[in-house]
Amino acid sequence: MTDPRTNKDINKGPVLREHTFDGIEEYDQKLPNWWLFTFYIAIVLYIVYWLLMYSTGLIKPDSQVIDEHMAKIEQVQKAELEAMLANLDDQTLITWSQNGGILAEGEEIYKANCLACHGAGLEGGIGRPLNADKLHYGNKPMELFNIVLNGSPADAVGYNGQKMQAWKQLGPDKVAKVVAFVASKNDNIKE
Amino acid sequence: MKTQTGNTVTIEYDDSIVRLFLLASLITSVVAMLVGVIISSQLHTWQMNGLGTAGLEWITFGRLRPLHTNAAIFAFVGNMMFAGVYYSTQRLCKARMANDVLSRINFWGWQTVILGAIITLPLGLTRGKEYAELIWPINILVVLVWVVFAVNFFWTLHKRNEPHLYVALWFYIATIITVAMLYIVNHLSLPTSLTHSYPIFGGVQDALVQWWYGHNAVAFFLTTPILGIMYYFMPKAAGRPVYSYRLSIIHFWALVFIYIWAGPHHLLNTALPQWLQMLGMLFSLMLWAPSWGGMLNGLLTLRGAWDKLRTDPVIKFFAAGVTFYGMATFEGPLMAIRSVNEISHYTDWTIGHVHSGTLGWNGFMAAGMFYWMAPRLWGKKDGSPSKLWSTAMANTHFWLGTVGILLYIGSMWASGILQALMLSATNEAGTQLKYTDFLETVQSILPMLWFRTAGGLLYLTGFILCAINIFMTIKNGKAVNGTKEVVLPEADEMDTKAGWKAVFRNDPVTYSFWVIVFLTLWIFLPSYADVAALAIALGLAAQACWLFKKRHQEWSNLYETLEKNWVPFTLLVVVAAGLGGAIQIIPTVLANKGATVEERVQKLYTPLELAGRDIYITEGCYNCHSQMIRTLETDVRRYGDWSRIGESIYNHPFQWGSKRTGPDLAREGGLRPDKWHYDHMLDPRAISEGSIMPAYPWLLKKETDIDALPSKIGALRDLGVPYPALNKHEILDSAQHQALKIAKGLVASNITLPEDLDESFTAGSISENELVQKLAQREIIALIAYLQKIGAHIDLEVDESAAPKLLNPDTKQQPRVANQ
Repeated sequence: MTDPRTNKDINKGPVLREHTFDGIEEYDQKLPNWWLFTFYIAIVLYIVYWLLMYSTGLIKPDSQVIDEHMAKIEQVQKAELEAMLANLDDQTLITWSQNGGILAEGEEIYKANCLACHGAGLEGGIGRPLNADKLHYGNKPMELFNIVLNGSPADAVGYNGQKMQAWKQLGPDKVAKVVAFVASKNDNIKE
Repeated sequence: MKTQTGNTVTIEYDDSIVRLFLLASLITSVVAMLVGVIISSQLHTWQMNGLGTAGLEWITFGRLRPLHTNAAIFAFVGNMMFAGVYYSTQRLCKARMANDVLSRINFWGWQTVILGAIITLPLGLTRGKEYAELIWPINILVVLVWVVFAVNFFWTLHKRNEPHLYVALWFYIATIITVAMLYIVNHLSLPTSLTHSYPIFGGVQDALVQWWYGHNAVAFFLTTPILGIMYYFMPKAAGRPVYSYRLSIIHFWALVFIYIWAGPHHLLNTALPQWLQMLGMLFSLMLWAPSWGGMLNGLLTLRGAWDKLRTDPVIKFFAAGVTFYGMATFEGPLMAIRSVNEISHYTDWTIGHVHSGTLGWNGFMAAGMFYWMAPRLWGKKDGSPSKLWSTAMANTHFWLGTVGILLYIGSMWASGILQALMLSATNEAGTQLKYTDFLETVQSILPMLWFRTAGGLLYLTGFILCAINIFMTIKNGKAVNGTKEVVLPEADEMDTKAGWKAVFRNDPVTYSFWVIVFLTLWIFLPSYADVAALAIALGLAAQACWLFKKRHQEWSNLYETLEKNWVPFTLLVVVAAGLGGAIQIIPTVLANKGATVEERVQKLYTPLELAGRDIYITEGCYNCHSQMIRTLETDVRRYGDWSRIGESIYNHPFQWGSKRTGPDLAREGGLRPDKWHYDHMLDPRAISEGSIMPAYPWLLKKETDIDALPSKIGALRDLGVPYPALNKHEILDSAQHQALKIAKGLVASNITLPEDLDESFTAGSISENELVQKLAQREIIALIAYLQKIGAHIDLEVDESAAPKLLNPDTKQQPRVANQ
């Protein structure tokens, strides 16, 4: 390598610039090729991606992508619910309420989602008591199932004005299990 | 301070101002990091929010987190930056700072700002925008101090005795100009009282302006000044020449121009128009190389001095700091890719990322600089540099810091990625989320949060050792001011008038200008015309490259001329740094307004809800809760339909958030009963076992400030929120009426009142009606009113046949599908 102090040609190696700043010297040397190419590739990517987006129509807008995607998921969810409802009736839920495995699962779901409003002993609180003789929306397990899945009806006044949210996000299977759990704790819930 | 003999003068530098800033930075570093460790512990141990009490409003996470970020950025790094700039600028200009009084105003003014922040932020006085929380009177003080700094700096450049501007000074120029621009625009507010104001931008506009500011606060407050400091102190400490002059030119201008555009990467997959998201992502990727240019010029300067890495703690800190800079600037573009961002955004990954920058880059560069400076600022009796009190202690600091950072960022990667994967996991059939309860995901990251606190504690310990080491060095040394014998340059060497023409009317500037103009037209012009603009831009760029090859020497000479002329240089920086923001913000402000939004528009807050919203902001809820459902499956499944631009268009400030320590609240309104919120605010764990949210018992004790509402609503009207003209009585009546209704519902559902509430208030001693009347005045009622309103909107008819709009490139795509 040539001596940077005497070298004048950057193609041959680093050139030490004449100027110093408070004793600080500077080399002048070529930019590393890999660095340059990283930069060039990013610029090319910008141009190509933008063209794909706004000139070719090959990339769909986010709003369309997500709406189409969620529509597909909703179809699967709907099919699942229908399949479940075809086999689910008061009788099944009562049977489930005597199944130890299901009850253990139902209890966990109850604790995580329901206990805050309906109390550890189903005695109620923010929400209605579930250990009552007569439940507000009916004593049949399937009536309970529907209320949990869909929440208080739109025209309901609520319990002391407080209305329950829909628990669709749990899915029908978990809702059924938690209903079975509640039914196991209240003998008045029956067919 | 200078003695002249012939054409040489002896200059005494003003190093006492450097000593002041260095000490202030050391003290504030410990404060900022201590607050950081406290708020970190609050996230795994909620009791830390009250220090044993049910709740202490001044020290909750929501109020202290802004104090931590502001202290770390503006107090610690701010003071460190001033110390570095004041030290190196004088030496690089071979001139004392232009005016000692301005330097002192800068110092004491800045410390007053810090003191103001320490007082106001815990009190809950905030603008509700991240890193821009300080209230408007303090904003004005910040601007005044910054102007004083700028005047002092540029005046010194003007009086300099060194014709050439060294690269460190370019970075200081970019810092001063750009921070002023960012700070002023993002702090434009309409005051409603001495301590409260609303930002003039709302909704998506405010989001864009905020992250243009937020991102570039990182760029121009935490990066460019520190790069300047690196360019001065690193070759000094290593005794080696800077690696490459031309690399410094290329990466400086690329950084200044490109950085500004990348702000929208903080808003990926949100309701921000997609063209802005594309710019944010793609410019972030283009930013990778320019950032690494700085790292290369730092690290490769150490070539031939690697042996010092073993012996000299200064070099250790600099080398590790620059390496962390390289790591963070690689990670940043990665996180700006929209699909990666799905995981990193709103989770701890982002928190880890920013700390690899602040702890690794800023903290270590600061430590290296302190250790280098201290023996020189407090030297031996004869004025020569003394020695650092303990090298072993500095080495211990280095290892504590390194292990601390690695623990911190490692645990945040694990936590962020784990939580994001849990949040998006579904059952096998893909019909339901696997973890429906947000809290489950929080519980599983708790161990990582403990590791983070441990890492932070190690890092803090390191800085305490640093402070002790520096204070002992000071004790053993004597304050010394640097002196320099300077040969005065000839008048025609300095800031030549010929420079002006040469600087602006030449090929590089002309070509850059037109290439940028046509690239901008490419973004906005309608289909086909846009591609033509791109073709012209590429043609011009190719021609410029060809010219560069041909007239290489001429272009080099031009740059040397530019270096000798600080005014044209500064003007070019203004243009380069100003463009990106202008091209993004102006169209958004013109096109995305309440009057022009499509699909949905937000329902206006009633006066009480507005008061509740201001309580939400005061308590800093936005630090942990977003209000933005992204166009992503994971978000839509968990929180409901994705957020439209119009749903938050009247929010001054916007509340999209940047982190989900708790769940998103965009569709919280009407979801749960009032009493749920009442119980939850007073004791989150009564509702959600294992919740890490602080309790807010004072909301039941403090009365809602409804008297401020008329002036607040008046201000919002002035800002374009379409409130009808209401007089003071109508506003107060409406607020009282709504509050009574909510209070009545709560009392009817048998709420429990905390025992330590004021005596006249306890149920039993007053009638139910009196209880309702009293309860209605409390902040909790206004807050519930607000929470129950979040997400309320009106559906609008969609005009599918609308023609593409010039200022909205997204309309060039296929027509948007109507909302089902």
